[in-house]
Amino acid sequence: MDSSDIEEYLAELARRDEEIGRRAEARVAGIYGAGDSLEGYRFENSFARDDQATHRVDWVHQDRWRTARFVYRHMPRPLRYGLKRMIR
Amino acid sequence: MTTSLVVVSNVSEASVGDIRRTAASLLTSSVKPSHWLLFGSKLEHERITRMRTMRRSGIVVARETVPLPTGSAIVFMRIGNALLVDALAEVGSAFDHGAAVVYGDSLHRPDRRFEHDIEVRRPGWSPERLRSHNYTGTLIAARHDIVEQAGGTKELALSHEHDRSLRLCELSPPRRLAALLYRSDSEPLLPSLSPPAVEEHCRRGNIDAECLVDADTPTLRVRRRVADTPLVSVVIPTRGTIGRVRGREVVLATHCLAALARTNTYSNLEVIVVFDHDTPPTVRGEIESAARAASDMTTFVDFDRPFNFAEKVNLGAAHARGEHLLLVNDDTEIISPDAIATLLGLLQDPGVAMAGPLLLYEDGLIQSAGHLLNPVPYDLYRHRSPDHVGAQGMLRVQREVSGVIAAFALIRRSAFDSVGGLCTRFPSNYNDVDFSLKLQELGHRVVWTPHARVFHFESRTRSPLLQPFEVETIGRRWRDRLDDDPYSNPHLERYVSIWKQNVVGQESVLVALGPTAPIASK
Repeated sequence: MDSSDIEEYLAELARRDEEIGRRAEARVAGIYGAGDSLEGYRFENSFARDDQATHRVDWVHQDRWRTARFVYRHMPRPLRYGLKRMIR
Repeated sequence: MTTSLVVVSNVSEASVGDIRRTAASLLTSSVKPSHWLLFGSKLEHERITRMRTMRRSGIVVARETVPLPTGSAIVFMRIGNALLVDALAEVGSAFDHGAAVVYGDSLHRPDRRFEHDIEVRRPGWSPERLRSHNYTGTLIAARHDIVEQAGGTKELALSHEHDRSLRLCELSPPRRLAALLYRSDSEPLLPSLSPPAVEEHCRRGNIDAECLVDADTPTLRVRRRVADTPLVSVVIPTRGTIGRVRGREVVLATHCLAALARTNTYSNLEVIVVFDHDTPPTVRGEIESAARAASDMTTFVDFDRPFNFAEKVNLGAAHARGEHLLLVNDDTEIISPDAIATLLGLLQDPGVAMAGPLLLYEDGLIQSAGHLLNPVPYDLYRHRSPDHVGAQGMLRVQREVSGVIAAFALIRRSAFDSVGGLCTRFPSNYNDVDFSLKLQELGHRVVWTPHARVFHFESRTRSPLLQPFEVETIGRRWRDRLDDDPYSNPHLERYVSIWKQNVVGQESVLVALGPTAPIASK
């Protein structure tokens, strides 16, 4: 392939990408409205490993909940199960 | 609802208690089935099937096949399981709206007392995964004509659940109902498997493959044979970054190519290295030597524009001669010697356009087991141990995903061209998410496999920060797909990278990590 063929190939790729993108954008605009943004979505700011590692699924066992956890676990059982059901 | 439903169960090994549980759920169902067919019924079962409430319910209980109403649908379920109150209403409504085969979610009794029922939430239709285990569960419903084509009600009722699912789904792609359909006291959380059924399925579908059963979990690997050895073009963009790998300073691209030369067993490779203009000349020479050691066919391309990963890959692809493109980041290191052959095997399925391996961090934890749009793109099971089997064994099976990381991904060249390559509007992040979604937009599938492993020393060569314009562009193009990932389930907990039911508590995390997770990491 010489340089003009490569330029042509890259231009063709860009044209196809644009075409699919435009179709997808039109569909999304049809569903959500044209001026809509992703404001409510919580995107991670960084892909760096250390930034992501701080995310904890297990909040129940964090130290700051220790007292609340103790109180909860020593409640009368019906009250505790009632609370549990309410949280669910 | 216009479709009449017929519930079918194999009761040859059922106890009276099992029949009672299922019968009670049929009686309390909001929509009653027209028939309940029992295959292999014994006299003692009639204590339940002939009880007064059952006789008065309007449900015709029969021991063998009886003439069924036209336009009916058959619901196959395991005896002893209980249908939930609205399950038949949901299934019937799906058939009214044109579904041919239907499966859904289920509830399971936990091992320990005082715990809530465990929800098994299932992904959408994933043909590659169904070959590995019966992820659709033990309740599957199909239109009467589909059942007749698949072998008839009796044969399917008496066959293994995996065999039944395979036969029905071969005839029509099933629809997943994201709703709880049944509750089981005895069914394990890991899906069942029938190796003979998969072998038979491969024969029926002319899939030239060997079926290898996993020793630890009830899963099976369908390893397709690659008829010839097509040329694979390896595209490696690099700027000659020097990084620390296992405590040693190395040129990442050299390290990557040396691992390729040392470990990889697939021979027909072409290596295309795309150099940034600021690559130091000495480093460049070193990389070129490593590339020549990895392959006899090498091409070196200069990229003289500002950093744009997508543009570099497209430029590399322009110089490629192979039918398949292997996108490789310079901060990767191949682990499995047969990784390329494994990915190539997956691309033997004409519907699959892209395949990716299990990516691991340097310390052996998972970097990505495929993408999950939940609702922002996540790498599934990131930071978790690869020893986990994942919810429902999902880390042990090859399966369809919404995307894979382009750090190491094999792509069919024709598909790459048809979607316009990587979008250059994403210079650093999300170009792979966008590319995978473009492939699916044109009807291709993307498959992830745990049977090929690669290290990815992520983001050593670029800024890891997500740019606002990248978020805006991905949202403008694919917001509907972010909200509704077909390979996820709307009832999962959002904004986590594991397959976890949406409830508070430690138990759900244990279930998400799978039953074989080491205690310390739980």
